[in-house]
Amino acid sequence: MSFARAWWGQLTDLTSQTLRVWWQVLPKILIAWVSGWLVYRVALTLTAPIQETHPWLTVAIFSCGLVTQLAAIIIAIRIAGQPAGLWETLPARAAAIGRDEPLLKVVSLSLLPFVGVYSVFNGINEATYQLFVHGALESSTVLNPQSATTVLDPTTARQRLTIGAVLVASYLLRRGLEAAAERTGRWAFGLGGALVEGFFSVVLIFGGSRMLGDLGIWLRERVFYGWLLEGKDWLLGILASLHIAIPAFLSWLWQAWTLHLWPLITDAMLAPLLWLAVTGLVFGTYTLSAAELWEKGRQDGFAGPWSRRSRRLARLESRGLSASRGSQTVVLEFVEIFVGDLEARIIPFVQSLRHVLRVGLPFMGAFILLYSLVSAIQPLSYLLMRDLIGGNVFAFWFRVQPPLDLLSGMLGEPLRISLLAVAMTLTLSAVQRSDSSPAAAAHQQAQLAVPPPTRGWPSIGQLVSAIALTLACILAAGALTKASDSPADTDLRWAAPGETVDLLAGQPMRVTGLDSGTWLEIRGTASPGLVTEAIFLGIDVEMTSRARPVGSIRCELRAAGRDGNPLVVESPVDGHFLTPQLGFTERVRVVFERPVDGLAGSRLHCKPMGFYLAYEPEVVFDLGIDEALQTQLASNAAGMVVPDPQFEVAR
Amino acid sequence: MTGRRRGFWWMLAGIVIAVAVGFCAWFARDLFLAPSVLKPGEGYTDPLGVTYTVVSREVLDELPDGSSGTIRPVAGAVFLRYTVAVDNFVYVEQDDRSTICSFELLSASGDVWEDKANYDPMRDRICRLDSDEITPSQQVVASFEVPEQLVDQAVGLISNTVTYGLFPVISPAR
Repeated sequence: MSFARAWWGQLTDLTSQTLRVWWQVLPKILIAWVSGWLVYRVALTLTAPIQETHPWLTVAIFSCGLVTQLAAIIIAIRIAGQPAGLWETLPARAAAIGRDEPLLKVVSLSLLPFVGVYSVFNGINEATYQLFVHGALESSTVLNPQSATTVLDPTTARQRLTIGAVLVASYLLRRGLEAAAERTGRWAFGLGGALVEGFFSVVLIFGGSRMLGDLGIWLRERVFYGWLLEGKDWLLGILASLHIAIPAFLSWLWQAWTLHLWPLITDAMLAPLLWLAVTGLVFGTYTLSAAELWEKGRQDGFAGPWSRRSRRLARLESRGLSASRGSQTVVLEFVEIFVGDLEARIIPFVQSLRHVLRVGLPFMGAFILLYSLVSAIQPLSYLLMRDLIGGNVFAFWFRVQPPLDLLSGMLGEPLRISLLAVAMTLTLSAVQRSDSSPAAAAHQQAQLAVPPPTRGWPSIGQLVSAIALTLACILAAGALTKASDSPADTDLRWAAPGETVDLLAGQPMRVTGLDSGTWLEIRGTASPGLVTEAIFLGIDVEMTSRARPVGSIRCELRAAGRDGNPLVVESPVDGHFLTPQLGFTERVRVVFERPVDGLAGSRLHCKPMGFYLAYEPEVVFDLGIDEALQTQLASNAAGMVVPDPQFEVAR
Repeated sequence: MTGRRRGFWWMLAGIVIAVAVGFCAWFARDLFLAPSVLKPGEGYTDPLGVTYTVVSREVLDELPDGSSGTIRPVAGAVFLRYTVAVDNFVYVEQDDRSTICSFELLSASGDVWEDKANYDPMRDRICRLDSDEITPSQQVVASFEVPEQLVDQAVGLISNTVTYGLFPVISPAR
């Protein structure tokens, strides 16, 4: 079978099975996902009034909400695994253990990798921003150093110490609750353990990412880093002596990697593979757990920390008669602290990732493409609804965002979750077949479309087509991800020269004239500091408020820079805001300083002044400055008057 | 899933979605709330027991500018000056909303005029917090520049620190 045919077969198989699973369990997935969403939103709302007064309580409530949302996704993936045929795919013993594994345990063990994967794809920034905005709207001061978002963003030694102490305390509490749950069998302890685990994960990932960033800055300030830079320069010098173009080529290669390739790999490739790996973890830690590795390690003399731990335990066992029960407990707990979490959480995750990569390029290409397509449904439907509503002020979007988020999530998430469950099932079935006897493999092959991982060397033609098609899938997935990544954050309304355009209904704006000069007379006073060797461009803007949906309007100039890239030009003079009251018209002259040959093609952008991100309206005035008008404006060596804003009753 | 069981799960999903939609509607209530309008002259007592009553409304052609001169409205506009009596005033730490007695003027269309500090700058526009003992009863003013043809559309005052819709419209007795 050619690579393209195999790829196509897997794409159609993944699609049809995903749609089948989606339709079968849609109501159940919706119940789980919407419940998680609701708890997260309620938690965010609850934190709003207490962010400044009770920062750690805020973090606890917020993490409960976040963890519940992630737990809901975990539950939804488990639900989708049933019709996907996961349990039938696994060996009976593994399926029984995986199926019977308590949900709380699955949630607890999956949370840390889940939060980790969530953080890789900007989840932390988005969640922190949501938390910040909810608090800021209720707060008297946005930048209170005691608020919850700053607690999670430690910058001083004391704050870092606090984070460390909280982490240790929550870790010990979690272990205590887990031990209590194991001994008593009471679910409340398990639930408490899972929630504390969530709190621990959120603080670790949120605070840890900041501290890792600080560590990078600290390292760059060391002498050692200077040596590295000197070493790099020395190496580049040697390469330049071989050929002058080599350093420039390497620099270009580095730029291409960091600016284009790496984002493409993380967005298009890493996201689907990591999510699939996490899905494997959700289907029971046994099936992909270290237990398997452990046994193999014991049998095969497996190298690494496992064999070290094995030897340590064996030594402990051999000392069993002489060692006291207390010392055994202490040593085992000590070993557990350092290795137990790794074994329970990280190794299954790595195992899962290994399995996914083993299935082969046709499957990977098909899955990556389909995952990007399905993942784009949520953001694209959100953007579509946002564009249909049109630009508005932040206060509006803050209130409207939850229903849009809910609706777009209900459209996209069930499909994404179904795809993950189906893809994991197909991955496991392929891996099982590759590990089982030829007869059993043939039997399973007849039932499932995905072939086992191929062994042996492919031909050159197969290899080239495989790489080309996989690269095409990755590029298409990257393009899809980029397209769904909020292409514009403002609602642009274009105005031709002389045209009047509403910023929002009842707030018409227009440019009434242009002026220029080499010095400014501001409100009747000539200021010696405001003289230029370039040119001051004055733009007269008029705005009327028949309704008053927007407060202050701010204008800035966009022009072409020396390098041809767009440049934002700020006004050197105060008073470039428009704030007409209801029933009034306001006229202001906004002033910008530009090179005499830098006026042509300039545009004036005016939008509401806002402190927070929102899809706001923005009027773009084409000033109609061509080469002829530029020459005319640039030749004006006289002074330019900047009057006070003028008001009149709107006609 | 059989049809009956499927119906059950759909019903349950419908209930959960309805609760989520209810939360969204509650969260966006600011967008739908219209403030209640109290009878002219009636005072509003907030949850902390502070009472706000409009004691007068003046239509003026000029206002003192804080020195010896006056400021005048633009042609075709007038100043509306409201005086508000604030009784049982309390200062609550951590809750600035109850302690800053500043207002906006609501129009019949739902838009507002803002009080500007350069109108009538010598008068108190927020409740006094700087004295050793907080004055339980005090008066503040709020002045607005309004086009003459829109004066009749001015309904009354709302707080500009309490969420829109939660502070009722107060106006002077006729």
